[in-house]
Amino acid sequence: MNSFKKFEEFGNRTAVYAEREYSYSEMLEIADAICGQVGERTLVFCLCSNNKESLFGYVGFIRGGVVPVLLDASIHIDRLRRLINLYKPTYIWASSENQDLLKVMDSSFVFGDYTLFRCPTFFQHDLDEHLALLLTTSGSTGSPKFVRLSYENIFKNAESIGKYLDINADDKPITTLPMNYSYGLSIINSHFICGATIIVTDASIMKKEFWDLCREQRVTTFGGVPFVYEMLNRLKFEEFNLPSLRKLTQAGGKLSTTLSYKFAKVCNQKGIQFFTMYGQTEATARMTYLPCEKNLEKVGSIGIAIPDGELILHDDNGNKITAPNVIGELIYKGANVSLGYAESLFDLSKKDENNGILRTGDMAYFDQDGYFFIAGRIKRMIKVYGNRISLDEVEGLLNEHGHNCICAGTDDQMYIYTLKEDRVQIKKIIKEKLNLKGFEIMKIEDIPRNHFGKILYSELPKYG
Amino acid sequence: MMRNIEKYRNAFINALDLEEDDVCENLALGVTREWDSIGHMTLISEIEEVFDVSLDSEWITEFDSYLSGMELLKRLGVDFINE
Repeated sequence: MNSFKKFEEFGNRTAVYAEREYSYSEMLEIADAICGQVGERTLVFCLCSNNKESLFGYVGFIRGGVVPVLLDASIHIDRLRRLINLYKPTYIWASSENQDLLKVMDSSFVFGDYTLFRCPTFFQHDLDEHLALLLTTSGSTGSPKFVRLSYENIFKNAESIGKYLDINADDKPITTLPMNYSYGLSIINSHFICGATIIVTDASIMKKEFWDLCREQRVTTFGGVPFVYEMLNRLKFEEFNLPSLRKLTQAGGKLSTTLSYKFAKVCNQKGIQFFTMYGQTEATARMTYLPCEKNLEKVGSIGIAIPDGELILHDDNGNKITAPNVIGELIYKGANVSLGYAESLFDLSKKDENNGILRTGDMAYFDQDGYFFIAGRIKRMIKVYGNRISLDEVEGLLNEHGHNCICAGTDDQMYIYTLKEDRVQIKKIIKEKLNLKGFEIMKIEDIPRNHFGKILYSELPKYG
Repeated sequence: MMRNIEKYRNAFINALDLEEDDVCENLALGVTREWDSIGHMTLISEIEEVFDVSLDSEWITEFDSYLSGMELLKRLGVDFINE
C-alpha cells in the first residue's frame, strides 16, 4: 500500500504552490530524480523546512521505497552527529548551505536550494519491508528515539482523515506546522492523496506575507497547535476577512476551554468548520476528532475515534470500562498504530511490535453520549508550545551537564528546580540544546523525597 | 527618564532574552534565532507595555524587523529622534 505511487493520475493538477505552481507530474519528475540518485532501498535523513525541496524529497523517498528520517532543519549539529552515528544514513537531503555537512560530505545531487549529501561511511541497513518512515517522538528534547511507521500506517491514517474532514481535490491547505512534525505531515499526506494543492511557506502566521499568500492563493484550510490559536486570538482572528477559508483544525495539545469555545463560536459565525482532534506520533498522527457540529455542545472533548479506529478505556486491572464518566487509560486500536520505536539502526529490522494497539499513556473518560475527554497524563510528559517534552529527559540532559536539577510542570509551564546558584548556566543549556521557551528556574534548598527516595513532585513550590 | 530608543532596545533584550551586544538593526523575525513566533508574542506585549500603545493585527504582522518596528511605532506617535 503506497498511495504516493498513484500520483500520476493527478497529472496536470497543481500539487504544490511554492513561489510558483508545480503540477503533480512536475513534482513526480523532481521527486523521483532525487530518490533515483539514492537508488536502492536504504536510510536517508531529510532536514526539513516548509519548502518545496523538503517536500519533493519526502515524496520521492516514500515513492521509491527509501526510508527517510524527517528532522527539523534547525537541528543542533551535536544532535545531528549523534543521530548519524546511531543510524548511519546513506545520504542526507539538506540545504546546500549547511556548512557542517559541506565540510565532511560530498554532494551527489542538487535541486533548488537543497543538496543530497553522501555520507562517507557506508552501512548496509537491514530494513523491515513494511518500514516507510521514521519520525521523532518529542519535539526538541533531543531524544534519539524514533517512531517506526509503515506505508499502511501513513496511508490508512491519511484516508481516515480525508473521510472525516471531507477533503477533496479543491482543498488548498497552507503550511502552518513543520512537515517533520506528525500533525504537519498528516495535513500534507491527507491532502496529497486527494489530489489537493498544498501552499508551501516557511512564513509564520505572525507575518503579513503569510496572510497575503492566504488571500492570493485562496487557501481553504490550515491546522494549528494551541499556541497557533493563541496567536490567532491575539491577531483578532474574528475580524479577519478570508472568504476562501472553510476548515480549521486543532490538535497537538489541549486548547483552553475559553479559546475552544471562542473559536467554535467565531468559526460557526463565519461558516468555517472548526475541528478539534487528538493524536500522537505513535499512531502516525490522529486518533480522534470532534465533529464540527458538536464543537460548542461538547467543548473540551477530543471527540470520537476516527473512521476505522476504536477507543477503549482500561481500569487499573486492565478491564474494559463500560460506564460513562469513569476515568481509565485510553487505548486506541487501528491500522495507523505505529510498528514501534527505534533507538538505533539495529531496531530498523524489527517487525510490528504493537499489532494495531496503542496504550496512549493518557487518562480519559467518556460522557453519556460517548464523547471522550482527556483527564491527564500517566507519564511525566507535558506539551510546551505544541512540542511534547519529557520532564525526565530534560532532567537527564541537565544532569549530563552537571546540574543537579528536577523538572515539573504542566502544559506550557515547565519548572526547573536547582539546588545551586546555576540558573544562568541552566538557562543557557535549555536555550542552546533544546531551544525551549516558557520555563522558569527556581532555587530550592533540598529535593522533597519520600521514605523510598522517590521525588515528591507535588511538594515542590509553585507547582504543588 | 529613559529615552524611547533605549526603551525599544530593552524591549528586545527582555522579550527575546538577548544580550546587550546582540541588539542591532539587523534583527529580524524568523531570522534571529530568538525571534520566533513565541518570542514575537512576548515582544509585542513588551512593546505595548513600555510605550503604552495597543497594537492591532496589521501592526503585528507588518512588524518583522528591528527597523520596521521603529517605523511602525513612529506612525503611532513614538518619537525616536527629537527627544
